[in-house]
Amino acid sequence: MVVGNFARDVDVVVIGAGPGGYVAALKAAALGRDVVLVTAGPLGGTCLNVGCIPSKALIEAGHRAWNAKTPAMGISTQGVHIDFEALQQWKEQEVIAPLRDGIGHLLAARGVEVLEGWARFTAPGVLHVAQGSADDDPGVTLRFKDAIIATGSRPIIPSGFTLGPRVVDSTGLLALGELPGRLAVIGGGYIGMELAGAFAHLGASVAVFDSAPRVLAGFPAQLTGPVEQHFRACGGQIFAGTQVQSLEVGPDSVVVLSDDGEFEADYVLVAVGRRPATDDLGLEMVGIDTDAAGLIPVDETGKAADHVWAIGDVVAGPPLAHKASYEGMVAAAAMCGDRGAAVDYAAIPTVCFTTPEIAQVGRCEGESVTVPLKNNGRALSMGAPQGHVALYVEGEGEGARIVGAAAVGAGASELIAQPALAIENLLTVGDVALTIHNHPGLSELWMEAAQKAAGVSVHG
Amino acid sequence: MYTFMMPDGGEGTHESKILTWHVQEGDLVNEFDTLFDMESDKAIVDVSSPVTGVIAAIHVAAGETGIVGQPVCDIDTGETHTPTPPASTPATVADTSTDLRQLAVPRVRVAARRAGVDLREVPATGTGGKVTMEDLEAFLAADSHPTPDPQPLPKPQPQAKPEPASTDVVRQPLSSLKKAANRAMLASYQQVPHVTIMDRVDCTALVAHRTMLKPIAEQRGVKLTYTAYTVKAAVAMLKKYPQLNARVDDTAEELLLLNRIGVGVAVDTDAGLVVPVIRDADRLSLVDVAAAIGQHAEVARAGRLGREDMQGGSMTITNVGGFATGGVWSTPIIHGGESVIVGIGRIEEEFVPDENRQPVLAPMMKISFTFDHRVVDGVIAQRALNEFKAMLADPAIMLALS
Repeated sequence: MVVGNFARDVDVVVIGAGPGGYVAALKAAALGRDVVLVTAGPLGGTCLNVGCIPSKALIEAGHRAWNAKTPAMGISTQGVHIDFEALQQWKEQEVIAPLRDGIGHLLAARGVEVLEGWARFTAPGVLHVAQGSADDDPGVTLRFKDAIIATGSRPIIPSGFTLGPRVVDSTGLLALGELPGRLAVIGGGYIGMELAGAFAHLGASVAVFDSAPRVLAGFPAQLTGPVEQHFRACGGQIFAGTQVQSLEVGPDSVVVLSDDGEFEADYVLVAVGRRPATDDLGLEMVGIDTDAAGLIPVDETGKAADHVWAIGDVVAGPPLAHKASYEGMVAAAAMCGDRGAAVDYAAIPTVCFTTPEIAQVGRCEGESVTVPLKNNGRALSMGAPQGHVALYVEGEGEGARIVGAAAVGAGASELIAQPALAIENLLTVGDVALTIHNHPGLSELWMEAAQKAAGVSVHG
Repeated sequence: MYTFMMPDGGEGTHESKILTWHVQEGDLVNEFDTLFDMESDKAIVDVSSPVTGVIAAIHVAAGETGIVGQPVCDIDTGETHTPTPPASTPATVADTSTDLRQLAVPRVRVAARRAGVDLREVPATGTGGKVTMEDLEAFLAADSHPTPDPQPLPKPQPQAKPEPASTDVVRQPLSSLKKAANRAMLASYQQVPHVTIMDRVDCTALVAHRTMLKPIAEQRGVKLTYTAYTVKAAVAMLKKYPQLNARVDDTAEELLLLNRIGVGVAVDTDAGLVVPVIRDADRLSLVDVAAAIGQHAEVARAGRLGREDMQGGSMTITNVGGFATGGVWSTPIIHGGESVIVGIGRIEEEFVPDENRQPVLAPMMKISFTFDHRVVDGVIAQRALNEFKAMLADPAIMLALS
């Protein structure tokens, strides 16, 4: 500790301003606590600034570009021009900035103080926040009653790879100043495939390298098949079951050397996964040991140690923004003495914004009842007949409970919310089958699947 | 065919007597209908059917004793008379492997955690065995007074509707546990020869002692009450007169002498009076006793007192103190098969003669000492009460002897 650095007493400190941290801060403030939110980056964290939201903006732009370039329904367009700089400006100013400002306003309205800097525990109940360079700025020391760790995760960069102007992580790719003509993507997980698809739509020649036998290996093959098919139709190349040996980085390009040959690219995206940002927090000072994956062990409320909770990507479970927000609300409530608070969700939707979209929720194991989009009036009228929805049920007849659901196809990211509601609220296929769904609509697919599962389908 | 096994009536009970059957062979019984009344360690409990069906056979007749885990009756569920299938998890057989998320929707799960209830123990009425919010509320209402009340003080029912103008009398159904409590109370009143001695004790030293100790207890987060002192006084009394630490076994016509000292403390809750027991109070310091009373009262008011929290009592203390407006003695009813109940009234200043026969104002506590006359004679009881009073009159001696 720096001499002359007096500790400030605070009530609650939340570390990290992503969708977990800022929600936890708002919830704790709503429950009457005085909250200081410490963040090393901009409000909204990875998700809003360099993750889910900007990638969705580029993906949407990719769809617009691809649709313009692809004749369909008797419509064709000549001379499609992409102003990548204008696209980035739109993404920053029209998408990210208003959302970030919104978070700032919400925090201010609840009286949450935002403190910028890097947080580190220095003793039980004490957090040091480094600001600027340590030499000229002693930072701030906070003595807190309760703390919530919501520091999220960082991209993994495998040894042998070095980030630079031509070799980037997802943050770097989303912030590129020019549209690459050739893009190599190392890692065919959901981040790699989402961005590979977006840049392919925007006109890049994209190659994806993955050491697994197929891309999107975390999802079942019947869901990922249409994605691979579409990606190849856009000119994309997939090198699956391939080990990337090395990168030959030149001033204007990079050559990817793999078991399956080489690929020269303007830029290389390294997207092999993310690791919890728990290594530099001084967790040992508050009695927390992380596991081999760097995750913080917690109880059902997210409590990691006396007066310390942890939420989001730093604890077990899928590293998803909506999980972090949910856990943030639970942890804040538990911290404020709500005995009802616990992380006990039955269903957490996972969405992959590929083309077509993939979504899953609940337990998707064993037999399922499927309905193809080509049987759906709305899907055909949208010109999107690819894909299907699947319901996983337990039990027989109309009383069978919905326990899982999956969808691949147009609108899957929105469609998945309905089975999530059904699973968490213990609905049966009979309940869904007897609920009127609007026509024409993609959601009718669930009604059809439920009727089929209940054995009362009039179409199937 | 569903075979109903004898449930465990309390902690460690391995047999229980069946008092009355509410059904006979051939009767249709619905899920949650009462099957029989069972006498367990301290309470009379009515046991309901976990399934819907027809009583095929009764294996343990009224008046006989059933062994926990052995068949009591067979219920033919093949002839189900309702379209709803029986719940897969009956109330008496909690299956810890059941995933709570498959039992109730998120809002009910939150409410159950808030109330400290394991949803697997709540009888479900929702479709497919779902526990509804109403099920949880009913469970909480029924669970909050599981042992007989020691005093006939029916609480006004807050939800009772105003009486219709056309009738002068409104019939109000009682919960099954309230019925059991009433039966136990009546049995105690009718079968135990109660004798009550009314007395009072000078609390000058007690008040001073508590005033001195209160801040020290507070530093330890404990509220030191006069009730804690009366518990310790009871311990000293029972140590000197162990013949009072006994209960009569009516059936065997024998006296059961207890080796451990537990003192029940009546707690007023929204659902009625309950009596948590401060067990082994002879091994606890005065401040520990006060802490235990505080904790038990908190748990009791939350409606979360377990059966085991109310067992093992030697005698009971019931303190109406704060509610008494004046010179109040009472005749408390002996609780739970014990031999003594002590009612404590309010501490009030009264003029009493000092050693020079001059009137001085002294804080006086009123004591009603009720005992089972079969256990001890009046002389012993009066001597025991004298000891109880002597302890309260001089807390230093009390703490040395308890």
